[in-house]
Amino acid sequence: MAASCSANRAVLNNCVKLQIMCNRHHCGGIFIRRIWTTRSKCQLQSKLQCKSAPQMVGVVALEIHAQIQAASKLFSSSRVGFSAPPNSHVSFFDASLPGTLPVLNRRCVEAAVTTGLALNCKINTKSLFDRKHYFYADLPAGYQITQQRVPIAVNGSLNFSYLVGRKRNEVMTKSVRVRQIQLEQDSGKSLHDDQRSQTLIDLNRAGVGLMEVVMEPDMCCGEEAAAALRELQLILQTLGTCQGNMAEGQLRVDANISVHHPGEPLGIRTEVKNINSARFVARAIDYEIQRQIEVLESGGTVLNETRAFDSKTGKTVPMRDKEGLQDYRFMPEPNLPPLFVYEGLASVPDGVDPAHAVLIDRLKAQLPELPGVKRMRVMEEYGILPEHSFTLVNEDGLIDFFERVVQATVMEPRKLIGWVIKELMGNLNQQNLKIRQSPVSPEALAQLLDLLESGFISSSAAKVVFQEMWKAPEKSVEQLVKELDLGLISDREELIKICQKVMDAHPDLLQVIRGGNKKVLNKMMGIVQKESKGRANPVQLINILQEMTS
Amino acid sequence: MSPGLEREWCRCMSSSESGYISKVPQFPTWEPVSEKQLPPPTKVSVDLVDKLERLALVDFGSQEGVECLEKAIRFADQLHVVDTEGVEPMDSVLEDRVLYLREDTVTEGNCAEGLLQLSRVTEEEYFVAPPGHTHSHTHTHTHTQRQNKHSLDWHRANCMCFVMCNKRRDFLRFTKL
Repeated sequence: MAASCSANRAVLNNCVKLQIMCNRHHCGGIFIRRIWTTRSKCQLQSKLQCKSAPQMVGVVALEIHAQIQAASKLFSSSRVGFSAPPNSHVSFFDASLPGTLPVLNRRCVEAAVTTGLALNCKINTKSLFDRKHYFYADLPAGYQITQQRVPIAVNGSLNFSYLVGRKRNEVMTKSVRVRQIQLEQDSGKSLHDDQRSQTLIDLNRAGVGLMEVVMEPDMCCGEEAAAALRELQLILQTLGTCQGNMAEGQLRVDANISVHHPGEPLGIRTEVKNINSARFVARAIDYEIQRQIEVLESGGTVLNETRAFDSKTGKTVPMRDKEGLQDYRFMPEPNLPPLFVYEGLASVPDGVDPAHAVLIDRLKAQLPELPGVKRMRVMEEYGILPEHSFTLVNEDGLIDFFERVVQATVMEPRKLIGWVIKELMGNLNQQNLKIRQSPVSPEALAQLLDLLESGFISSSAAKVVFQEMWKAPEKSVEQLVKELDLGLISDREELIKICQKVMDAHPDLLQVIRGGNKKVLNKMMGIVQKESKGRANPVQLINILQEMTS
Repeated sequence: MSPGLEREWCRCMSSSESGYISKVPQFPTWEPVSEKQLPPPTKVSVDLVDKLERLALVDFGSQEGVECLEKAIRFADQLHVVDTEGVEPMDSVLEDRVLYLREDTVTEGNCAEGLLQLSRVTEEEYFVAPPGHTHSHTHTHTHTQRQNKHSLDWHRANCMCFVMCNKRRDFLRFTKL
């Protein structure tokens, strides 16, 4: 919550101080967040005195364009690649040269079906392609091939959980309906050169396969929408149907936002286009909800318009007129017969090679373990906390690392999770490394934890060794422990010697302990550990100290 | 299709000249439809012309242009004469065909040089279009529109080519399958 409050604060108008109050209603999994301005709060209070007026709430729906992870484009065999030389990945079809025809990529169809299955959709065994016309210089045909009438997947849902509460350890679970998933072409890119008053066109992206995931207006604030987006991103990455890198535009978000009094019809919505990070999605939505509430409360009306989010100011600004209702002149795509996918082998008609057909049950059988299921599993299997399951599953590759450590060490998963989440992730984040780039292997970490578990080294010594492992990954754990002389001191004589030295240096403490205050014994232990550089065997140490102070 | 038309069609479909079987009719095959059979002619208002111009980025510009459009509509009016009672509407003549799905392999592209040669204006390896759709809200509506209209002349030409080619290609594809 803290994050989204600060996000909100960033978008505040200087002259209007806002107070953000968050109310959560756990009933029915619905989460309502209320935002008041001091001004509107005053108004509310005055209204409350006469008659209770419910506060306005935001209503949010997302449309997410996900670039399909494939070698070639949706309808042409040219390469899909980011940051290639301009116009190098363009076929005659992508450039809309007359005489070229679309030839559908099976991989793209399979990706859409797989994604549909993961989002609990009904897969349409017959879907249709349509032309949607508009004129952009980066859309050379003057139309986009999409699926308007009968898309490939419909009526699904996206289930997601996110952490709330001051300590971010409460799990909130929500479900958002997915109206449809449609296959469509991406456009090229325009680079606007204002100085020379021209537009440079790169068609490398033109024709890349997209899955447009259209959600119902089931969300109410930026944080929720951002959580839904992150979960979708994770699902797509797990499926391998989209790489989900928002900075490279592989996942792009349009948010439809309106406000209304609960129970009343939905308000007029605006559409904030092309938001390119989850954080900005949250900020743009919260800003827009607040803006609309202010417009309505000052007696204005919200216009049905397209807006853009300016990440520098944290505001949304109008983009272009929609000219009343935009007319895309949809028409059936005459160059593509209907797309058929089949439930299973038995439903493939004669004359169709089953090896070349898209079979729903075959793709269903190949579905990997999805993030939600994986979180539940690791919580149950390893007895770890929900917030830890989020970190494990949400960080790319962390769960594999964790499971390899678990397999290789005798330490309990519950105990070693801190090492993976705090020490390992801390070091990785500090050096901006991915988990796969970790200099410490899961097996090496397991060895270290074994030494810790067996009592050969103390936990503070283990932390020192861990840092050394990071610096010198070529050395073995035993070698480092030996070199650093960090092995646990379990020799009784040696421990007595250290304790005696400490007691001699702190006669006052000894006095207090002998006087009956046993709590001070812990302080004494701390000083001994400091003296021994954390190497004293704690179990033995406490026995020895008790004997010597009694 | 009238019996005469059908006969003509079949004749063309089966005609063979030096091994290559052209399935394209060799000469026009329509028969004029009497004016009396048609609904009243459509009049195109100035507002509608304006809207169409914006949607299609086509400049009618003159009374002559409007007349041309009205004639085109009049020509299409002949479709009203066709009896479609009990006939399921169809999207495409290919709709009972199975859509071919290709393997996800890269076999095209890498022809920037050739493609850029087709463009009138290029800059380095980019196509160049005049500005338009800069996402600035300072542009007035008509200004932006005019710019687009101007910038996309080449689109327009392309689209027109496209419509004509599509017709021919659909036909060829149909006959190939």
